[in-house]
Amino acid sequence: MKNIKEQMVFMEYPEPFIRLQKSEKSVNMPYLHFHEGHEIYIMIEGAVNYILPDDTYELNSGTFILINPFTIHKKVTKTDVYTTFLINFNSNILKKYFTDEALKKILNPFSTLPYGKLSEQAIQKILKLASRLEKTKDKVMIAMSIAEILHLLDKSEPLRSTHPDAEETLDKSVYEYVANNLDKRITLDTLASELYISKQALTSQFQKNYGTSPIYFVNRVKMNFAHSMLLYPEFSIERISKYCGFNSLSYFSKVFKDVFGQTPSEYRRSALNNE
Amino acid sequence: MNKQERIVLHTSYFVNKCYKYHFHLHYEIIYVSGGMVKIFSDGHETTIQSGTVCVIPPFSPHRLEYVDASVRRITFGISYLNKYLSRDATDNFPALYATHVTLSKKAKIKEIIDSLVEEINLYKGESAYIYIYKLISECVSLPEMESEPNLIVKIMQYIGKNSKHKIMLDDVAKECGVTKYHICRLFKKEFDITPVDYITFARIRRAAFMLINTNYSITKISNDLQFYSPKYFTKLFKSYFDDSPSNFRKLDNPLLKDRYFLKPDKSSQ
Repeated sequence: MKNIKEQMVFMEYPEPFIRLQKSEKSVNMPYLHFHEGHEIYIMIEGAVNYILPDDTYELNSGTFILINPFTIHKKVTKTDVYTTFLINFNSNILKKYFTDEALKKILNPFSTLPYGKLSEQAIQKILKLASRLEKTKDKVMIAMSIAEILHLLDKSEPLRSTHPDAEETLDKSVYEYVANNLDKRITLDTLASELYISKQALTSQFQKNYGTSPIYFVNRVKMNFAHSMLLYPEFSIERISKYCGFNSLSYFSKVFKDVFGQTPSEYRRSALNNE
Repeated sequence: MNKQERIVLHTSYFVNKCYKYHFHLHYEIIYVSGGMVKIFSDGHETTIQSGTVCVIPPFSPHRLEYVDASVRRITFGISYLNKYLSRDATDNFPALYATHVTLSKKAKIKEIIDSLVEEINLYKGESAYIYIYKLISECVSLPEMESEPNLIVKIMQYIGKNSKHKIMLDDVAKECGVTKYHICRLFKKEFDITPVDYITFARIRRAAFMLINTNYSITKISNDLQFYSPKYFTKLFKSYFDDSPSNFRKLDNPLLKDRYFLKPDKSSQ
């Protein structure tokens, strides 16, 4: 495994990113990455696999996946050329124009549905909306169209995830466990029992493959999340520290400084001043 | 759920039916799928042909004549929209507060109406507001009348424009260049009411609109619209809406009626 930092990309979308795009296999996103916003990914033509912490999702034409904020994911293309309709949006744009009651219902498919298949008729409707959405600058219309698309997806046929050729490597398992349990304190004991492996085997494997201890790896993953979240002034450093499962702010700062050479507040100050 | 929060779909066929000049407190969307409907509002008279939709906002007086018409009517109150759309959305969407009838003949209307009907029939209309928003944003004002408006339309437009002040019949007559007796005969023939009744109707309607759309006190509304006194205003208001201005404001009142005509219907009391 290469440097983890290189393998994770964080993206932010202050404005909704909406693209109906035809892509080549070469232009994919092979890195594990996550966003601050929600992602709607609808496969129009071609096939890809979407790897999420919990499972691998096979996307063929007419299927879609909804990805929650801060969920780590990775895309593996299966066909040379594929067409997708992709929307990345920050839920603030919906919060601005809808009441809490409406918002709850609009975002509901992200938790109850995430993966499904659209009817031919629904795809046609979505394509029509897509071409209109790409042109408009009217924010209310954009919010309204996102609500309409999610409503169309909500009415579609839900699918179950599959496990096609998912390679289970130890680092991936650890990574996924950490990503799903970011706010918990993770010890060597919990890690070993969760992954059904002895502490000794876990430690020796990590030592052999990466030259580090499993706990160093866990902290490293957590620090990458913290690093990305620090760019958002609305999250206090204390909150980020709790979010990453640290009870003590000073210990969090120490681990952060060990990895990045700066304390969290120094990093935040320099990152925000550069903008 | 109160009446104003509900969204209701009616599918009807009328061989020949005519509604007197009236207004209501809810939005009414009429989609004509066959035959035709004549609508008279704000001095505009238009024939709505098959495939056309028209949106009648709250407080907009109108008269409808159905001729061999198949229609879908969708009604909902302001509270229905407020339940789902935030202030930011409604503020950015002035078409929502149009005070006059709008319509659209575009081909895509049918698709929006179909989605709207499906939402109401299958999903109780919980997401119908998305399609209502789309529909209203496609609609435009009624076409201008080609010929010079006739006398009664001119009088109604004058009263409509000046309804925030006291209006004297002599001024109306002078403005339109006819005698007040002529105006009286005209209103009697057209609406079976006196012009003074019509003026009161226009002013009370404006007051009702203000009660719903502003948070001004009843005294302020009464003073702004130059009623004789808040007490007199309340009495007059009650005679139209069967309830006091403050109760009317709450909108979830079982006393509120589906339709309000030019003159309070005394026989029903």
